[in-house]
Amino acid sequence: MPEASDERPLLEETWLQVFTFLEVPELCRAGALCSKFRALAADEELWRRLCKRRWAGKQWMPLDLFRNGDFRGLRLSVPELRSLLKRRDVDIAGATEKSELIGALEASTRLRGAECTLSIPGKWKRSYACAELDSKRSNITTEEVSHFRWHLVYHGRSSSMGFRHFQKNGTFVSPHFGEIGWCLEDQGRLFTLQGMEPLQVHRDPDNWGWIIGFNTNTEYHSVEVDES
Amino acid sequence: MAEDKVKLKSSQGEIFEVEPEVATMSTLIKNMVEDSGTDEEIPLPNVKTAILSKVIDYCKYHKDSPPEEIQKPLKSTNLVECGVSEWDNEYVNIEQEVLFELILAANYLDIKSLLDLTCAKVASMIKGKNTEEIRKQFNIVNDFTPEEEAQVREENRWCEDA
Repeated sequence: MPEASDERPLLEETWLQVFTFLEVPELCRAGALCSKFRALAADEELWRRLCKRRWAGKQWMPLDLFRNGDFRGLRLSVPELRSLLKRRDVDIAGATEKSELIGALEASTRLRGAECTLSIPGKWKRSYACAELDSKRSNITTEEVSHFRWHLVYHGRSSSMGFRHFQKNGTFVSPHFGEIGWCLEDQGRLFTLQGMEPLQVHRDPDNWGWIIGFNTNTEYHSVEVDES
Repeated sequence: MAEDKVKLKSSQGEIFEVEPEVATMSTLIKNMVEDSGTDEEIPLPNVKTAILSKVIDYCKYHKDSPPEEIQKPLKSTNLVECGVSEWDNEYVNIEQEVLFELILAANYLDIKSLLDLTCAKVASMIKGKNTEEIRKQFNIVNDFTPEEEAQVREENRWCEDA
């Protein structure tokens, strides 16, 4: 990068420090200036910190590679593959080879419309981009329904019966009706408890969580659970 | 007492005598003073007289009142709206060449708050500008081949309206 005659160039680490003050679209623009800036603006540690900043307070967004990310073409370590597969609820008990984990990860990738992120060469920048696109998804998955606990607000009042848990196997133990079934319809846009009216699924844009039955008498709000 | 002062020598040989609390805002100088006391003058071969003088102004002003953290990311091109004081904002309202020298000095002398302030100033000069304007501002030559240019556009497509 040529500089004006007597202007000493800034160190690369200094530019990285400058970049921490930019918003993400500005950082992307900085990466489009020249090859040196492209390499700097793709710095993985920078993107990991941006993920940390952006995902703080968002539901089911631990500081780890994004669970729904499309990582095709990237080299991930065995622990990274295992962590992603675990959060995708894929059974990998029988997998011994890394290639099996890679295959399982590809098979379980179903983030739609993320093809434009496939040219991003770093796993954290890819995670950031995929998470950003996925945060606009408004249909919920079975894994998500069963991952969260749900806080019931009935006729505007919080239920005192504790958080609800809709289990993975499609059952729900209601404090009032005992064990009943639940299911998703319309590709995850409708949630139905056995014998009741379907409820619309709504995404909360602030915390990336979910509200089932938004603006009705029966609202279920997703609540983060401690995974440990 | 004069003998308690720290003697800082610029790259051009000029000596500045400053209060220890002022000089030791620089982690580099703090370590040197702790190692070898204040008798010897401390040579700063990377810092020109004019820049050293400006750095000392900053340290004098902030020795009793450390600046507030600057907002990340910056929400405005006006640093005062991002938590920077009027005095600091005025302090970095300088020629780009001087600003860059100041950044190099803050980095070398290891003065974190000054480095933050000057880096935020550079970031504010990037904010709100298009690619061509930024290139012009910082004398950056577009060295991409047409293929690379297309790749970069593809890589950034996701955040265009993010």
